[in-house]
Amino acid sequence: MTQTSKKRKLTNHDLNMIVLRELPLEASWHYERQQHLGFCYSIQSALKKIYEGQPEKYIDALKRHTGEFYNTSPQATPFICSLVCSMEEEYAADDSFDVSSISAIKAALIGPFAGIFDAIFLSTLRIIGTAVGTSLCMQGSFLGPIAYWAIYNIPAFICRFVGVRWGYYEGAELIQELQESGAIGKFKDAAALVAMMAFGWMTKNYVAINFVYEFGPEGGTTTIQAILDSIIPGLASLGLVWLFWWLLTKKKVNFMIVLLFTLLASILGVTLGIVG
Amino acid sequence: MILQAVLIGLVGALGQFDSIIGSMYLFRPIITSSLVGLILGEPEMGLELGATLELFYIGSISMGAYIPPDDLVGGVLATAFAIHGNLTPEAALTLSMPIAVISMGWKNVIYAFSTFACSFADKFAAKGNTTGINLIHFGMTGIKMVNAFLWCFLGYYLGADVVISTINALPTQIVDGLSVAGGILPALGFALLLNMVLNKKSLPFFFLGFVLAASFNVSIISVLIISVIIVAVTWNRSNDQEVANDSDF
Repeated sequence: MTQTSKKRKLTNHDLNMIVLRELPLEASWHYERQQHLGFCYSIQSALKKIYEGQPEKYIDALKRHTGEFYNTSPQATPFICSLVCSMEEEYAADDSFDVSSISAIKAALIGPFAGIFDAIFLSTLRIIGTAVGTSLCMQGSFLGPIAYWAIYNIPAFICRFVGVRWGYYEGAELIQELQESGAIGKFKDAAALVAMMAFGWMTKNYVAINFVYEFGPEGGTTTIQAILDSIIPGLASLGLVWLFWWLLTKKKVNFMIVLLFTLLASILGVTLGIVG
Repeated sequence: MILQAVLIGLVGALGQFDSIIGSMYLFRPIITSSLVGLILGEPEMGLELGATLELFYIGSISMGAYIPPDDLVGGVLATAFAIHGNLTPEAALTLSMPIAVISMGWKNVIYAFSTFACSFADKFAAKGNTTGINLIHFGMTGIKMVNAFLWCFLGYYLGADVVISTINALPTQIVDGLSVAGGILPALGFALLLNMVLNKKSLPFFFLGFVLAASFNVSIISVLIISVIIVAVTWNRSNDQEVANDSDF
């Protein structure tokens, strides 16, 4: 992408407005074009300013961003919004600017950004928030839901306010840099490491099964549970998680079937006195 | 009871309002159940129910075009019923599932309507009419807020006594069995979510987290600190190795 114009029309205030307008990104989510209206709403006021005195280009931009499919992480969107705005700005100043490159960059970014931001926010920060939050809830503390909210959302808002500036001032260069340095992969790996340790911890603490069936000589009976726990406490919980993972991922069994089977097996197990 | 039912309906509406104020994940049981507990005067039970439900629904998040069971309506109503009838958290968990699945089915109708309604935005855009576009945009959440309010309000107001008397009439084996299932089902949620972060590099750390909890009984905060230290120590080292992401799991 060529930088033909370095003249910036959007102020700090305009960039903050993009963040605020981005908050309702998913308000009209639907299967077909998903967050397209949310994206259009996010940059409307910026577009109006960029295309002041150029009503035809303004309407073209509205049509472009209303019409195009869009779906990625809400936390990643301010970056893409302001990067798009900086390109729209170039088009406003220079008629020869290739407008299709704006659509192309949107289409190119949403997939990888959803991948990395969902890994960081949905499967790492949210899991940490849930692990910390639920352990506080179990102690009867309202800090539980608050901690859950804060651990997920404070980084989310920082990411939005920082992202909108990076996208506007150095978006294109930054993307190139990220691709070349392999930093995206490193962030993903780091997020995965933290999330996996939290999952391991939660498997021990939040999955519970108790085999109560007794066997052995009279007076010296033992339970399967006691044997399993003597190897390592929570071994049965560990086995359950990986059994379910194997069924869902490797055997591609439908989630609802696994769920129903678990319910029936639990009722049967209690009736036969195996678990309790 | 009508006032409580209205407030419970508003918790449902708040969960949908979340998609206007920044997808903060306020629709999750850990938030909604805690609020329902406050409304029904059983804050501690609400918190416990919130934690139990949250752990099960941990894997049911919408990624891409996958729409999970409606943990908002399922969580709010199951919590309200459980507090009303003094059920165990495990029974509440099981109760929430059919509600969440039925509510999801109905929500898909709303999503189909959204696609139809949003197609009009193109016409507004061609005229430069941003007000029209934005009315559709916010109207869709408005509809979903009314929908969630009605489900939670009517569900609690009309359903609480019926649901509780039905559950109390169930044989004890079923109730005990469901309570055992409640302990097992978080494993299903974890298994569903593992895939997002599972690769050859991250797999050993699952077992590290597990052993820290099982053998050393450390808190989640300690596990987090340890994991951040590992990230910090290995950050530069991973530069030298191949950075390719192996996802052949």
